[in-house]
Amino acid sequence: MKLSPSQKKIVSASDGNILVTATAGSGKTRVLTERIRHLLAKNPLDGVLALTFTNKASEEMTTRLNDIKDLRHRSFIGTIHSFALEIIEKHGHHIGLESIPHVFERDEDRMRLLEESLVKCGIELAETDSKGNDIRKKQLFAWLERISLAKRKLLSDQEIESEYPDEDFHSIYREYNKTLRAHGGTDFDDLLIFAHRIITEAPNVKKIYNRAYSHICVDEAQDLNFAQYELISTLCRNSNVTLMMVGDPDQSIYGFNGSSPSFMTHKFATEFAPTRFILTENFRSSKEILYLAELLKPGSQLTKKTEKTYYAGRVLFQEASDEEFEAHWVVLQISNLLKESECEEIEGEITLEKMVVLGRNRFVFQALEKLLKRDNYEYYFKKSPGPPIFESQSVQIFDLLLRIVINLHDRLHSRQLASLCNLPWTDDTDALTFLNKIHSEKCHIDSVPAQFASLFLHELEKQQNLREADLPASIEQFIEAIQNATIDDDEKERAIVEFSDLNVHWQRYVRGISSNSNLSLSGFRSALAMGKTQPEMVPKGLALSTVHTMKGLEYDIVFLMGMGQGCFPDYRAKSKSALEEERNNAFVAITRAKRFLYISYPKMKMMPWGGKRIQDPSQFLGEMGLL
Amino acid sequence: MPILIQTVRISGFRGLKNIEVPLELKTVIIGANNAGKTSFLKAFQLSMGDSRFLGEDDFHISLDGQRSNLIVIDVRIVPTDNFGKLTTTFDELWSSIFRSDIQIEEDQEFLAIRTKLSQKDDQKRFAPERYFLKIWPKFDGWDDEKYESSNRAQNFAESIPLYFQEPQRDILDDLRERKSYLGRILSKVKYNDDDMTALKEIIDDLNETAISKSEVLSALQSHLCELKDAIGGNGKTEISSVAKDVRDLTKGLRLHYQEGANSFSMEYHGMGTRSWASLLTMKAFAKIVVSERATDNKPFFPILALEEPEAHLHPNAQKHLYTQITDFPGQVVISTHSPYISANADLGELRSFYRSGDQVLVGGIPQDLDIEDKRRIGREVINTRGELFFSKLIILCEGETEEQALPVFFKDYFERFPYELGVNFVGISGCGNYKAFFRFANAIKIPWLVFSDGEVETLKRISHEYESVFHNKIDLFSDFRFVVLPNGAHYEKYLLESGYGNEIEAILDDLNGEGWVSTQINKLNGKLRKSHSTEKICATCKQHIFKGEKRDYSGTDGKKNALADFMLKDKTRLAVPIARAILSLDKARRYPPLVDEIFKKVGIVLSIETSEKES
Repeated sequence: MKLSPSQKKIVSASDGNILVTATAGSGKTRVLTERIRHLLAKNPLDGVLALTFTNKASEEMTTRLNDIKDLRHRSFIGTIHSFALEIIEKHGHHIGLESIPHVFERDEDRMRLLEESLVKCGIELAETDSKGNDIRKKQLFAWLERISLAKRKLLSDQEIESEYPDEDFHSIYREYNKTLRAHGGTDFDDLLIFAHRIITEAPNVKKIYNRAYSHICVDEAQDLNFAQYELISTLCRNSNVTLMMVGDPDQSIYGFNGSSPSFMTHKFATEFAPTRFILTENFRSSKEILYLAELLKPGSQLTKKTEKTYYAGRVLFQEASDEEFEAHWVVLQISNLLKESECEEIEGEITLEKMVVLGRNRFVFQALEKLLKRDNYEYYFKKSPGPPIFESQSVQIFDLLLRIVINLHDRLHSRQLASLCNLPWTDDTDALTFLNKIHSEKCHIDSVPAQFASLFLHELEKQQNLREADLPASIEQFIEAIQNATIDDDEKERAIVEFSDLNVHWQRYVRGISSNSNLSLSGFRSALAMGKTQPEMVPKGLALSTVHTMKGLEYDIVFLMGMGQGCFPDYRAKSKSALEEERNNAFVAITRAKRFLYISYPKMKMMPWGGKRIQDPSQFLGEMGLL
Repeated sequence: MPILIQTVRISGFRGLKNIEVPLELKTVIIGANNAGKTSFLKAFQLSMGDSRFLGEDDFHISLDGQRSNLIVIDVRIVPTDNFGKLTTTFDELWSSIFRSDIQIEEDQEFLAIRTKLSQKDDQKRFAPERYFLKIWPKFDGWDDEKYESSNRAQNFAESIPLYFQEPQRDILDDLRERKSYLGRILSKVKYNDDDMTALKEIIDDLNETAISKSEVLSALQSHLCELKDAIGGNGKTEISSVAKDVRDLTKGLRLHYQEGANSFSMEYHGMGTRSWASLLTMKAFAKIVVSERATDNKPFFPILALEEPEAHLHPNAQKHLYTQITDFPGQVVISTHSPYISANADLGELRSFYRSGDQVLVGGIPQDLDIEDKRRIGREVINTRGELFFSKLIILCEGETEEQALPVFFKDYFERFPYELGVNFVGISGCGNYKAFFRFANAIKIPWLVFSDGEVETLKRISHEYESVFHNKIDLFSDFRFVVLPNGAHYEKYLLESGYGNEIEAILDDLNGEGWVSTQINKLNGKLRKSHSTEKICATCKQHIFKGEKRDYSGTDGKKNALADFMLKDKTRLAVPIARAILSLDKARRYPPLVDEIFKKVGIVLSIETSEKES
């Protein structure tokens, strides 16, 4: 993947201080890593200090630079706090720190220490406010915030006294620090204070760092706070060290903790007179994909904010005679991409890990899965953590019944169930009466959901009376009933698949239990709720995912399958607002693709009970101009 | 600017329980066999990157038979200028690899690396763990974990390689061995394309001429060509007298050493030449790498650890060796038994290893020794051809007479020459020199005895110098290490007092002619001695008043005075003959009592059985 001319200009700029203002998606992390690569290659003796705000960011940077020989010895890539910790660990003895202090990072721990200090200061906190709400925790947290903010100003004890008129605060501040030390520890803010003290009180140590790291690069510099900026700028002052800051003032997110983009845009700019660069090109999405997005949702924020899209990208659409053909087409595209191996628009080798197959629901993957298995492609289902989500109405009814049977006081779910089954509900109904109502068949002769509910309830009660629950036997009956019912084909298909899934969840639950006599419906329900019955996910190979699970994630290459009307948008989305939500989902789906997007639509759908059904293309396909 | 390994600390390795060795740019290690010299060099090698040789037996066993399961070696690296003089900061080149692990204490930068090797159950291989140290601790308890930085240190062997040379070196082995320094040099041989073509032509030409000019070889070749009839195909048999291919030029390389008109292949040279040649190839290798690394702008500082380089070498060659070794472009540590090598070293470069209980300890000449003292010791070292370093006992005596006479008595007493027993006599001759030798002997842990005059001034001075070195009071008359002549006497006077007057007179007469002593007494009795300066100052000229004393040679005491005067006048010529004359006397009088006493002490120090002599 090549750098754009404006990126290249920054990467190969001559040695000196640099300020890069970069908008979202303009590839700032890449510019930063390539700049580091450039500096290391150009000056074989130099070392680089790269500071980030999250471990994830530094890990990503390290991974990208991993091919550089001696990277570990020539660079420090990590968070500002981990760098502070490295200074303390190696040179802390200059300010009397013989070993690395323990860092109390959990708020709970710090609160406990604060409580201890408050007792010593003789300050009592009110337990409740006038309305009787518990406010103790809130107050403790507020004190911790104040202490933290004060620490981030790197004030001496005297300065604290003149800066803060509140005398209580002085004593709490002092006592809290004393308590920290007494427990052999520090907090995160102290790390910066200590590191700053070391390089100011032992200027020789600063000189060692100046020789060790002749270049300092700061990522997300819009989030710097005073202490962090002071540590970095103190290191750079009166030295030959070059300082590079990269950030987007519009993305500043930590404003509450004393951070401000002005450290980057003003203090750094005036103190170090950096050469300024601006990056506005968008590298995150390709032109083709943004074009589709604009057609689907005209005037969205994404397209509005993007000034210049750098990559053209690819969008391919395929209409397939049936689902099998659709799956074949997807696998063919995948194998072609893998053969292509490298391409200008994608960083690194094209691998399965850079691709994801999306569907509005999980039911569109069945033909593809068979084919992937046959051709030995590695793949996995992306799952969101937590309990499984059921989409078919029938299984939702079953799940609600299960909850109510287990907990006969559950009026909340009783009401939900009533609405799903079109049964009357009044607020004074209790769950037991409600269940009895379901039992009597008279009232719901013409409601299929209610008939199901009645059947499920029968079976569940039978199960409850058994010494060992045997849910699979019941599920078999449900599937049979559903197959014979006159309901929507989509619902029928989903219900059958999801009940089969439920069977699998049951088996995982049984496996996780020490002895069969412990099997119970309530045990099963809580295992479901805890996500314990979710399959172990090994994220290797091609990812298959529903659109909902993919929210917030991005892939270079995205396949969007099963674009039939009824599937996407979902057949249940009939109101205007529900349809608008489906459109948003479709928007999310296509914008998960950074470069390439493959969309497919099978004309014919196989039904689980045999037989085929013709489906219309999704209305979104027409809206995006693909049909 | 280069660096220097300033200090090495070792614990738990072989015989080295816990030791600190300060190093110089060139360091010469001396000490008895089994004193731990080789162990030190091997531990140094371990710390600088090569642990392949390590085995279970390398872990220290304490006196109670407990095997240590941990070896710890610390090295302290400091920046220096191009002459090995300490500087405060590492330069850009070294900073580029040491980075923020450089530490600073009182404005002095250093890098401390700890190597740990631990023994776990059923372990055949030992992987070293390396840590940077946060501070350079005091020696007491230095190997505590708390000084370690939590991050691992890398192996700096690429930049600071340690070349270890064992005593058994042979250039002939090097020629065969691809991993030898010679082999490694040869693997670097490269020609450019033009040179390759030119060389190829020369070789082909040479081979062809060698065959065609010889009827025998031509015939051989044509007969061998019949091979192709047997094998079939279009093969051709070629005879080549030199390598057929340019690539093969460095294979089967031979070395010749020419003296005068005769050139001999190395095979015909003795081990001395061959081992020396091997040493020189190693130096050549180091210099080649130095220039390679300099071209790449990479830091490089090789260390040469040489074990007994004197093996097989003639003393004259040994004298040269030190200069040739110290020309090495890095740090050098030599262990040696050669007085010629140690005599060439600067005193400050010497380290003496010695055992004390289950500990190996290290001595060295204190850095604060003043230049005059260093010069005196240096001169004495050269006088003894370096033997002084390997001495088992030094006997310090006042003047030249004792220095000459005592060895004569010694030979008779012990029936061996002093050097056979490792005993050296050092004549202090004059003032202010005991201090230097006290410090020298103390530093390199050689026991000493003093055979001293009894003059009050001399005794005062010795006590003073002793106290300034050892920082405690001393009573010269009761201390075991001192034999003091009685009644303020010097050696000559002591002999006369001890009743050897007649023997001395006989020697004087023998040397100067019959009746010489009586004639001289008569001639000089009552005459003024040569005048000497007194403490009185003349009121007019402000100069010291000079005064001559009258000689009194009359009577028995007068005769003693006369003999003493005559002896002093000619003492160096008389020392040995007088000693011999005394030795010819009967058993009871053969050794003046205090000479007998000092030899008894020698016997005790060296644990020599002398009961026979006493009886």
